[in-house]
Amino acid sequence: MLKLDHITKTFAVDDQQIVALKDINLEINNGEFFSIIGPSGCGKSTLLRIIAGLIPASSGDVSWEEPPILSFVFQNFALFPYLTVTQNIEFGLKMNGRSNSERSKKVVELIDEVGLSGFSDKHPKELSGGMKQRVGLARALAMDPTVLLLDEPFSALDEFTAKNLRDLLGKLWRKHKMTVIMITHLVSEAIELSDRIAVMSPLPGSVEEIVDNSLKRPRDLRSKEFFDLEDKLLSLVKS
Amino acid sequence: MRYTHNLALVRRRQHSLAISLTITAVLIVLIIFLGFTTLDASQFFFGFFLSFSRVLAAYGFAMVIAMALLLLATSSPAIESIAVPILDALQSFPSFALFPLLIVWFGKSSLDVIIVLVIEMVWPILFSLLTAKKQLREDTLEAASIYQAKGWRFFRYVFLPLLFPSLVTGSIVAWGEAWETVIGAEIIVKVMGVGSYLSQSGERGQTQILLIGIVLLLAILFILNKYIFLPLLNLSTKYQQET
Repeated sequence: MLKLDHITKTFAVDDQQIVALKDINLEINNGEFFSIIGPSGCGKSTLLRIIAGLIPASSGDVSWEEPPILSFVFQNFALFPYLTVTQNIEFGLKMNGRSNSERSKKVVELIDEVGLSGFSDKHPKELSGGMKQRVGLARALAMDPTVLLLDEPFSALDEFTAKNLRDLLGKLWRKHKMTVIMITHLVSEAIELSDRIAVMSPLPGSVEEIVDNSLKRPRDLRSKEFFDLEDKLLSLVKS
Repeated sequence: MRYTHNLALVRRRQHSLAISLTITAVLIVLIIFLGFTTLDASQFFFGFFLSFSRVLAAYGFAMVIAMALLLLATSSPAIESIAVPILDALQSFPSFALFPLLIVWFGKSSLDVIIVLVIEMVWPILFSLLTAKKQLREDTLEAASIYQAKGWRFFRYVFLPLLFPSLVTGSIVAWGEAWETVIGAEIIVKVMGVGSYLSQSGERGQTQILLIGIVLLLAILFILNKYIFLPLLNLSTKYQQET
C-alpha cells in the first residue's frame, strides 16, 4: 500500500512561491488500478513524479508498505534514441547488472507480449508513436514492477492507436497484477480502466474527490452507467 | 522499410564512386607534383604526417579536457551560471599570444604547437557539448533515473551517447580550426611540418611547389572530411533525440 501524507509542493518562480500541490492525502492499495484526472496545471504530473521519487516533495511523506519496484511510462515515450527496441527494453535490467541470458529471455517474452515482433532491431526513429509506446511499456514491464506509473501514456497517440494500447494496458494489468497509477486528462479513459479515480483541481493543485468505479469489467463504453459516471466526474473537474 | 533500404544502397554506390574519384584526383596531382620538382615528394607527406600527428594528439587532449570542463561547469546550476560566462570570456583569448611564453618554457618544439592546438580545439567541442546538454530532454533523463542508470553507467550508456551528435559537430569545427592553427604555428615555431614546408617553399620562391602543396593539402583534408567526419555525422543522426 502507498500512503501520501500531507504532500505539498511549492516552486519558486521569479521570487514568487507557486503552490503546485497543496495538502495531498491519498491511499492506494496493492494491485489497484488508480487514475488521477484533472485539467492541465492541476499538478497531477508533479504528483506522479513525487510518487516516483523523481522530485522531492516540499513537505509531507510518501510511504510504502513494502519497498516498491517502480516503473514509469512517459507521455512522449522518453526512449533512448541511440538504442534499438531490444536494447531499450532491457535497459533497466542492464543497469541493474542482470546477465545477458536473463535479459534476452525477458526481451523475447516482452516483445511478443506487447506486440513488437519483427521490430526488435529498429531504432525509435523508425517506429510509429504507438510502437514507441509499446516499447515504453515493455521497458517498464522488464523490471517486473510492483508499481507501474503512467503519465498520460496515450495522449500523444491518435485515437485508434490509443484504444489498442488501452486494451493492451488492461490486459497487462490483469496478467501481472501490479499496482497501476495513471495520470490522464481523458475522463473516459480513466473510467474504462480504473478501480478508483482521483479528481484534481488547479490553483493550488489539490484532490477534489476520490470516486469509486464499480462498473463491471469488461466495461461497456456505451452503457448508461458509464455516461452517468462520466457526467459525475466531469462535474467535479474545475478548470 | 524497403524504401530506406534502397536509399542506403544508393548512398553506398555514390560513396564508392566518390572514393575512386578522389583517389584518382590525388594521384594525378601527385604525378604533376613530382614532374614539376626535383624535390622528393616524401618530404611533403612526412611534413603532413607530422602535422597530422600533432593535431590528432591535441584532439585527444582537447576531448578529455572539454568533457571534464563540461562536467565541472554543469555540476550545479549555481556553478553553471558563473562558469559559462567565464569560459565564454576565456574562449576569445588569442592562443597565439602564448607563443613567446611557450618558447621560453619549452624551446622551439612540437610541444608549443600541440599546447596551442589543444587550447584552440577545446572551445568548439566544449561549447557544442554545453549547448547539447542544455537541450537534453527532461523525460529521457528521468527515464535514466527510474531505470537506475547512475554514476559511470549513466555517463557511458546515457550521457555520452546522447551528446555524441554534438561531439561530432564540435569535432568537425575543431579540426577545421586546427588545420589553420597548425600551419600558422609551425611557421612561427619553425618545426618540421606541412606549415613550415609550405613557408620554406614560399621563401625560396618555389611558387609552383607551394601551389601544388596547397592543392594536395586540400585534397587530403577533403578525404578526411568525406570519409571520417561525414560518415560520423550520418551515424550521429541515428543517435539524435527527437524534439
